[in-house]
Amino acid sequence: MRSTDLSDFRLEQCVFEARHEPSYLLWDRAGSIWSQIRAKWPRLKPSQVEPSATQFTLDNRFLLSVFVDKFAVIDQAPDHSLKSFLDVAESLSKVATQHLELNEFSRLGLRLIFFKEFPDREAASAVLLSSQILNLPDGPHFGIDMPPVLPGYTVRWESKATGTTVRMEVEGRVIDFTPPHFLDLRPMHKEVAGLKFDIDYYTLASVAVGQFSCRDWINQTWHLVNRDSKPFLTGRKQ
Amino acid sequence: MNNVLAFQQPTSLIPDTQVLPHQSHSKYPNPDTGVVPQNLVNPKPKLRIVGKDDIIDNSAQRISIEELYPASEAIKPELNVALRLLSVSSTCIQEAIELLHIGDSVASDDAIQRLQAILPELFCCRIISDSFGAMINATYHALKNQEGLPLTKHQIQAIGRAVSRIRSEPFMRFEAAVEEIMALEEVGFIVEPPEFEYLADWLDE
Repeated sequence: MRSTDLSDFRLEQCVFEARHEPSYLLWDRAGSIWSQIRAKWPRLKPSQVEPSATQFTLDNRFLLSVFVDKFAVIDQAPDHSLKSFLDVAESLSKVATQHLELNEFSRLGLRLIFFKEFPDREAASAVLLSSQILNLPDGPHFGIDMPPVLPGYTVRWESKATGTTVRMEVEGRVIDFTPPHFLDLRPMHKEVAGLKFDIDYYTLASVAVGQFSCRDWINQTWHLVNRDSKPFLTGRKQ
Repeated sequence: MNNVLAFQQPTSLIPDTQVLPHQSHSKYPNPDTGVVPQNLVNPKPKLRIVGKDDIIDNSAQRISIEELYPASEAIKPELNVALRLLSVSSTCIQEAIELLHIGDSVASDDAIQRLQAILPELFCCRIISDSFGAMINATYHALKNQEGLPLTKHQIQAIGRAVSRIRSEPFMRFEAAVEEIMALEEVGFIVEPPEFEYLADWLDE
């Protein structure tokens, strides 16, 4: 496999999610939670506000949610240092934990989605297959003598306490935009092909609030992902 | 009448949880005949496929601090140092309890003194949380205020519980830390520096 480093991939999306037992204090304290977060990020805008689900966006980049049974932060343009993501996630975690009077989390998860563009799907497929992680039999397959279309794999490992899901797949993306006729703009059509590397790291056993430091946990998970991703990117040893 | 009937749910669509309709006076099926009385829905087995996207719920079990932070090199240095020193502290306390149990009170006291020597370095890690700082400070003064007197078994166990708690929950709420400190006071420890007494008197004047 030619891609040998995670830095060849662009970090497309970063998600932190904490699940917990339902806390109906959200019905009383949603205003306090979001006022406190808005005091730090005044550009926060509501996108969905219902009794059991409150979601806000920040700078058209972050999506912050607090539900009765979980809270989450999605960063759609994360930088490789995760600095801004860490700041937002840590603040939301502190405020939600305090106002919802949480004692423990049933699941913590950090999901990182990387993407690397290739000239076309075939090139991306060839790179994935050359890693030999997918050990396919020689063709023809069921009478079809063609290379696989959009290959991919998903593997999960779990201990009693933590788990991780690794997904590697070839993905084709098609973007079409037809502007309104009164604007002097040309319609746009773009096709992008590439490899998507998606890692979800999570806890399975419960985590006491007193054990959890959002910044430390995300930092060390980020470190684990960077440290242990190489075999998936370089492929099996011959 | 027709309007009322229109809103009644047909028996075949009653959800599985409503096995016994309220209007029914029927009893459970006769185990010999297997006949299900009228208005009772036959219980049906449920098949659930566990696929790769299903998460196995293991939340009844509490994660350990080592499992939560397996990459110790990537957490803040103070936390890394504190977890290591608290492990050493736990070993000292365990030794002290075991030595006291076999009647070697001098060696037991020696183990407690080794613990006491670790506490100032642990206090340097108080950036971890206010609770952490408060508990280490209380433990330090609890031992210092003994003025050389050996600890009782209950006192060693209380120190052991405090150290174990702060190691497993270094970010605990401050109220929880206060409860732990009060537990130290309950076994006879004075957890504040002696100067506090004079300071309090001075402030009262």
